[in-house]
Amino acid sequence: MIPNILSAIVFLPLLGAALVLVIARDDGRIHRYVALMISFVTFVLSCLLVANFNHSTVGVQFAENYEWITSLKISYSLGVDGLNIVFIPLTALLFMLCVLASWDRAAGLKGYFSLFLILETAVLGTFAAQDLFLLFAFWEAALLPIYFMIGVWGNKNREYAATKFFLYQLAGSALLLLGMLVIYYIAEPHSFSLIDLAGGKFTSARIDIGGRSLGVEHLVFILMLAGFAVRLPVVPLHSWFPHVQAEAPPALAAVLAAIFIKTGAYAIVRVNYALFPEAANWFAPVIAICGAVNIIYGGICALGQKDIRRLVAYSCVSHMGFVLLGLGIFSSTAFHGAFLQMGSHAVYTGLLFFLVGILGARSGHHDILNADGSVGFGGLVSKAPLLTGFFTVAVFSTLGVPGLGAFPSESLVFLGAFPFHRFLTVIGLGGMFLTAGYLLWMYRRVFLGRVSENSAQITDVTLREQLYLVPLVLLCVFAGTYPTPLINLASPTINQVLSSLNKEAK
Amino acid sequence: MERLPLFISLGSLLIWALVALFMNKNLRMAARGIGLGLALVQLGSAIWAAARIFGDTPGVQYSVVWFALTAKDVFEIKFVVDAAGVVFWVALSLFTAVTAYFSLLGQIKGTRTQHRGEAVTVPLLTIGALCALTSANFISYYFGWALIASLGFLAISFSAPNRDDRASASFRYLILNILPEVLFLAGILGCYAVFETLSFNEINEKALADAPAWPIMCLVAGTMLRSLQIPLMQCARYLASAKSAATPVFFLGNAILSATLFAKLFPAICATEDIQYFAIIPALTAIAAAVMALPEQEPAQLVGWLVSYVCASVFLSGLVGSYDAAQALALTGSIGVFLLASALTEFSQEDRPQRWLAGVALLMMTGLPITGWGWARYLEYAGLIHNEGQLPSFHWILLGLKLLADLLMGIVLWGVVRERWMVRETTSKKVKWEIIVPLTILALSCLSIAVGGRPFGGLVGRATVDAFPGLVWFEKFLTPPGGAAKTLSSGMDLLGTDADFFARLLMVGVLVVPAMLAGLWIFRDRKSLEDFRAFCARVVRRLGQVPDQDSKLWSWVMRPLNATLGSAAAFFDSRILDRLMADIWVTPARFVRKVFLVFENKVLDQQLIDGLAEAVASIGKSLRLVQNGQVQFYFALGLILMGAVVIKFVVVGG
Repeated sequence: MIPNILSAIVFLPLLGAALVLVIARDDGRIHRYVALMISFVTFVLSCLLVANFNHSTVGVQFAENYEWITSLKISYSLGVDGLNIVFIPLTALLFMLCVLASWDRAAGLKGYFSLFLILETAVLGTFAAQDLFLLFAFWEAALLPIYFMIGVWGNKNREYAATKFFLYQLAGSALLLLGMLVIYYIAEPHSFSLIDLAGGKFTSARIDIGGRSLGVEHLVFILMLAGFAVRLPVVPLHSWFPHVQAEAPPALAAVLAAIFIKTGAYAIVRVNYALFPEAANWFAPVIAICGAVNIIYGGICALGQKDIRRLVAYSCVSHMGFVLLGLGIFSSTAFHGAFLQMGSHAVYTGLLFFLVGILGARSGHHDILNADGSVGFGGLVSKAPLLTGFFTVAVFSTLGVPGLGAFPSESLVFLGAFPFHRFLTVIGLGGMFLTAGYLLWMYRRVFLGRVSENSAQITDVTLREQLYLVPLVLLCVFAGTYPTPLINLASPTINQVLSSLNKEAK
Repeated sequence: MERLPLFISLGSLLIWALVALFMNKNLRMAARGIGLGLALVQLGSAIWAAARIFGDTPGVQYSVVWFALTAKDVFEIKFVVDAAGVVFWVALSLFTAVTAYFSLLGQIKGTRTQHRGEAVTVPLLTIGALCALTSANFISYYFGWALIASLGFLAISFSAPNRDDRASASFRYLILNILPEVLFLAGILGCYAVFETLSFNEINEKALADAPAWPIMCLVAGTMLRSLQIPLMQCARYLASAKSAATPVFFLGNAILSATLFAKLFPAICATEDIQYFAIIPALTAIAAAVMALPEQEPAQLVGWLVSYVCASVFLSGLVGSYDAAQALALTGSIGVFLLASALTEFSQEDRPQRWLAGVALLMMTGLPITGWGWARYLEYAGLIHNEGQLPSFHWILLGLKLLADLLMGIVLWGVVRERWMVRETTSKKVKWEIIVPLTILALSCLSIAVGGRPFGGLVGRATVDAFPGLVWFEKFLTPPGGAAKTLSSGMDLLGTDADFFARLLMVGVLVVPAMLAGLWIFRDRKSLEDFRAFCARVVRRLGQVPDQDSKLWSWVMRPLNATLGSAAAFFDSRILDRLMADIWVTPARFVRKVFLVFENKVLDQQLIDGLAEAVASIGKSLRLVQNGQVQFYFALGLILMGAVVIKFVVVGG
């Protein structure tokens, strides 16, 4: 086994970014190959990590712990457990596929691929960090590459989208920073280590707000949750997401929807739930309600979209609601469903955004309906049957058709949530209805019907495009038919988190 | 070994789907051939399973652990192959094989080249139906349910003959599937919450105790709504636009879903209080479907109304606790509909053989006693007569409504047989044996499954001897006397004891075979057909009651029905029901969508968020103004702030 494999996985892309930067400017081909090679090796290493992961034990594995800033007890601490073991290879895979998806990019390859690899390090670090300060550092490190990638390689309104993204994320980060500092000072002894804090104690200071006495823990919980909620994104803190998805380059849009927003949900469990189980119990109903609101609000907004990217973005908002709903209910079934949904959503949404990118690159627009009400595409099934086939898989995975992506996860969320919150669960079922409505409405107008003028010159997917689409299709089928390996990896840790949450509830 | 037939069946269908998916244009013929071969393999495995079930194996149940969250929360995919399911399985396999055959035939002739998407949906639809058929818990059942729903959408989208038709058909199909699915899923979640299991057997056991009724009610309501019942009955219009090779398979899939739910959860449904009052919906649907069919000129749409009517019959029997009748109606009804749809798909209006086959299918659906559908209707009536619920006269109301519906549908079907297939001129006299022969084999096979399964344990249900006085009559007159009866009874254990067996034997031996031979002889050429029509006309004139072309009675019956009731029904459907549905679903949805979009763009984004940003900016500007660099100003500001603090904490008090 490779020593310090986790550090190797996290920092190899950063090394790759440096390599890309130092390579002399040429036609850009070498940059692509370096980025691909680096992301491929990272993926292979992450597969090795999973292969050597012992899923029968609960604790943190492959732990790397070094003192970083001794005076503040900040450490360089990495490790994997059931909560993050799935996301590390998934992140590595998606970044590798994104490099392939960006192969056609003509200009600015050096900057593009180096920023992309920096982003990979930041996201991998966020998942692997076991120290709150380190997690925050990686969390923040992800913002700059995204900001520049949107701002430089984005679409028409890229400046506005990039600024909006940065402002939102910065506001969230401010809340996180504040919460993090309070955590440090109320922890006894003071620490940033997530492992120590999970078992540690906090001062029982209370604050009077509006005549109600509230524990500091509760306030910190809300602060941190609000910070993570911006990234998730939770309504009404979500409006950066559709803008960014509409303006970001396709590969970045795929990463944002598939992986980046998952860090928000992951951090809620890793930080909020692990550190403040009592406050989590207190606030869980609100989280579940937020989930239901996300589902319905995102779905209804998606119904009204004429731009395919914004439609899929709102679909993401809606589907992240299933994650929130599951996380808001401390039953084993719902919680497992939420985690599975995070994994499967990453796959089918990634696929969907790749396909939207291909469609946009071919046609030069993303309009389902033109300004005059006529269809923007239409009849693509006869012009691009393979593209239609891939799209069909992605759409039906999103719909939760059995055997594909979202089916096991959404089923588990509903089955687990129903005994606790019947009303919210039925609202969630309404979200499925909305999903079918907007996705099949889009599918019908883009792929079926008469071939419009815009569709006439659209060609089918190339072999290279198939190369990065097929793995995601296979993963969709895998996640839909046989999610057992994913569940086995995460289950012991999830059950441990749940038992600590339910112990507090009693 | 006992799992092998089902695995072979599922495996062959899956391979078929993959072959269809990965074929290219040059290999389409080979792919069709392979598809047909695999369809025959799965037919063979179905027959093998049936032979085992009706031989020495009573029923096979097996499960696969899908995933386990904790030791308690184990989710399994459970299958069961029992006597009820295996009959549908054989019928389903037959239909799929015939569909594959026609697909190959169309490819060879170049008359109907199948799209890749369409080719893939046929085996996958069969997998969906097979999953529902053999399901032993909700996981495998819902797998079948959702697969049929989504593939039905694709099948319609890919294969409807006219592109404009596809849009409206797929939209109606979408509504038909999504709205009931919410109810159905609520039922599944309710079952899991109330009974803490997804297994049908365990739910049936627990439902016998005093358990809440609403989950079962949700399940039944969801399944009913999806099966073209009021208020979603008008969605049956999608079938007119969706005529294709895959559609007949879908017909069966839909019927199977309805019947299977009753088969799997029959004890729980029977134990559910007040659920029988749901039966008023299928009773009214049956009448509505018949009324809608009266003025229908489009044969494919007629099939749509017929599907609605068949499903209504299945639900009516199931809800009044007559499961045998529900099963029989589902099987025989789907056979009739499949044959009719196949005939309509594979022949043109001008083809003479179409008259014969579609005529047979239509006659089957008229409820003649020689047909399985007719026998199933006997069972249905028996169930309605003997079901006395909490309201004393309710079952008589249901029976009255159903008799009215059957009468109206009978008029429609006889009228169509007569007008469309006996009077209309045809231009093509060529007999398409390659189509007639397999469909005839299919019809006869299905007929034997429907009416001849009694010696093997009753495949399509049974009636007790005292259900009708007529059956007692059969028993008295047809039971072999004394020793002969005993000999036969010891041989087959059924002869001489059950009147219904003799009724069937009589139907098959005395009516079906001679009628078939006579029919083949009469329809051998055009002259004989003319002679037959002249003969029928003479008989009709003499009887004066059965309508013929010139009969005043016929016009007297049809005119008010067509002109008044039919027009009223058409008006109601297009002007009232359709608009009502639009007002209930579409308009509010559009309104809410607009409100949300306005809120999203104008309020949340532009007002709240941008407002906050502007507020921050203006505060920043104000602060910027304060930063004027004059020491005396800062001193004055400090004094003011200090004064405020003093007033707050010293004068007013902290």
